[in-house]
Amino acid sequence: MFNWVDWPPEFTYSADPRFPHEVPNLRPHLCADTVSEATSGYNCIAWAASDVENWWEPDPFFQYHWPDGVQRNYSQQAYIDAFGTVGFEVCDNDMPEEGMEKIVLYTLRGEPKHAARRLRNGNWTSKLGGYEDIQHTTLDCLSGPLYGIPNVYLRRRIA
Amino acid sequence: MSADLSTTTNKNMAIAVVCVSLIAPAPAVASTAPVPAIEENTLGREVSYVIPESDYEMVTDSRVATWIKFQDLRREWHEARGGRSSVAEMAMLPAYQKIMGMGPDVLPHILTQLRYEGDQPDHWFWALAAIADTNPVPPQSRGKVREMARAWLEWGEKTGNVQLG
Repeated sequence: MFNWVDWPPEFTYSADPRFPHEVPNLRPHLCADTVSEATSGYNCIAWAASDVENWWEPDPFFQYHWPDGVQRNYSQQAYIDAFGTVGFEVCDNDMPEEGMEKIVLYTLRGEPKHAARRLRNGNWTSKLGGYEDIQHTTLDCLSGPLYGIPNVYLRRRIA
Repeated sequence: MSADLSTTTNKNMAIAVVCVSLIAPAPAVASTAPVPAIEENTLGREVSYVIPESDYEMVTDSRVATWIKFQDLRREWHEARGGRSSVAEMAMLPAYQKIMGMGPDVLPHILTQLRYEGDQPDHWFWALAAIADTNPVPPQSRGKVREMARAWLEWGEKTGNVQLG
């Protein structure tokens, strides 16, 4: 049974009883911090690319931001190519590398559902849909029916 | 026992919602009693609307009923979408699909809602584009939700679907 008493008060969406059930592996001790307030201004894909000005989405109506020249669909390759426009390339793993920033793409049945970015402190950070972005200590804590599993790792050189 | 609240007391109230006439609880079997006359109004035709999860039925103006239905679906959608990161997924949820299925009648209500949401606009853009079959968002504003909202509200004003003033 979920223990609300242990849920960090700074995780402001804790008032909503649905959220922990959507991400069943996320537990308070794996959620290190809340980085922002809830906003619909950007999504996890933008947040992984360190962009807080745009909601990245290859929507068919051409209303959301999607990098020019990248196929506008919800395929894994389209997302890899989109991250490629800001310097990311596919790599083998999520392990920290000197001089490199790493992100991971979660997929479900081959379709991208979420992205997280590794911070210098070793934690991961994720924007949870329209909710807050958080820091979490493992990748698996967001695995589940909502986001799928961490599947594609990308890295880019830090200037 | 039924109570007609529309006949006199609400007549002079300023907001449109007061056109509502509460005439139920809806009977289990069809009543033979005549339905009380509804005050004439200038908003549109009268419709019957059963309040979800209640025993009540309202007879109201069609635009009011559309607004109430839209708000019910908006709440349902908000609860259902959870932490989804893709508008495409949010738009596939049944409540959002039902909103889109309401067609052009719901456009003024979506735009009114969008205006109400101010600096934190929700993701109505998919529905607006699908229903209106247009895209007023300029390329440089794609993904910038406040600018997207502004573009849609300006479109709404030009087309008479919403008043910004």
